[in-house]
Amino acid sequence: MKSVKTPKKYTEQKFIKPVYLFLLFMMGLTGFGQMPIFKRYYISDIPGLGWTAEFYIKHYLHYLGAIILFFLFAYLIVVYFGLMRKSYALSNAALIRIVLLVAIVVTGIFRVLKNMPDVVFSPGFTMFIDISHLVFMILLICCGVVFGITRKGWFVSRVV
Amino acid sequence: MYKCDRCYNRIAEGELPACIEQCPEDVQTIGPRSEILQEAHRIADEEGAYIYGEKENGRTNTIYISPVPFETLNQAIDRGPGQPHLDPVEDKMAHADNLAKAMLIAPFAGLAAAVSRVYKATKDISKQPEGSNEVG
Repeated sequence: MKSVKTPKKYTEQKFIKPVYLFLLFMMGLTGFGQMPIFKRYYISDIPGLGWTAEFYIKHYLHYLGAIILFFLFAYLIVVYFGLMRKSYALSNAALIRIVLLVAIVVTGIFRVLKNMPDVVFSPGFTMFIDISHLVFMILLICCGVVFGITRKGWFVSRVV
Repeated sequence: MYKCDRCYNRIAEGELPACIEQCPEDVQTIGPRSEILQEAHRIADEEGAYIYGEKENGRTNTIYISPVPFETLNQAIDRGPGQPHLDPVEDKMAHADNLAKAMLIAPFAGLAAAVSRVYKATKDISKQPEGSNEVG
């Protein structure tokens, strides 16, 4: 969201970064926590992190986070195309992140479907969406780190 | 230690699980759930027996038939940590299933919020003088 000349500052730009990073961090934490790693490696023994040993709490939090992210993504897509697009173009780094986010959302939707009582996928497909959801998230984290270091933001100012 | 997979590899080749094939009393049958349930009801009706697993514990993949009611069996079981029981069990995924419904609504709520936001902002811009640097 950084650019040399800032043409117009929208309200969303003030709060979106901490909100997005917090949500993503919690989704990462509760998502990786679907594997029984936090109790096994004594992370849940750290004061305040006892809940990381509770599978269903992490599961609900992950679903809750998905609800908030669905709201946020729909909101931001409309606000970007409705308002911000005039002042900002999406950077290449943003496009890569968007592709990964779409992949995470789509595989995530299939994971939610799989968890429904009357929906059954083949073992191979179940394994595929499980692993790909995880891999896309790892790639997104890697991109976040790389783009963070190289300071590649989401927006390129259209004002020259 | 291995968890029983009902001889997955044998079933894939059209064979029966080893325990069913070897059982001298022929106490087990295996097949699609609907067929097994039908068979269970037939036996239960014929012998006045009781069925466990059709609705209990989130609908189990093994259906049991017993001449003794399962409540009576449940009372006779040794209790304690790690011991199995036949008590009613809550559906642990019920909350998640409700949250999944909320997931359907969330993007539409976001869409509605954004549309009203964009609408207000464009209305404000047409009112505001040029050079204003703040929207919303």
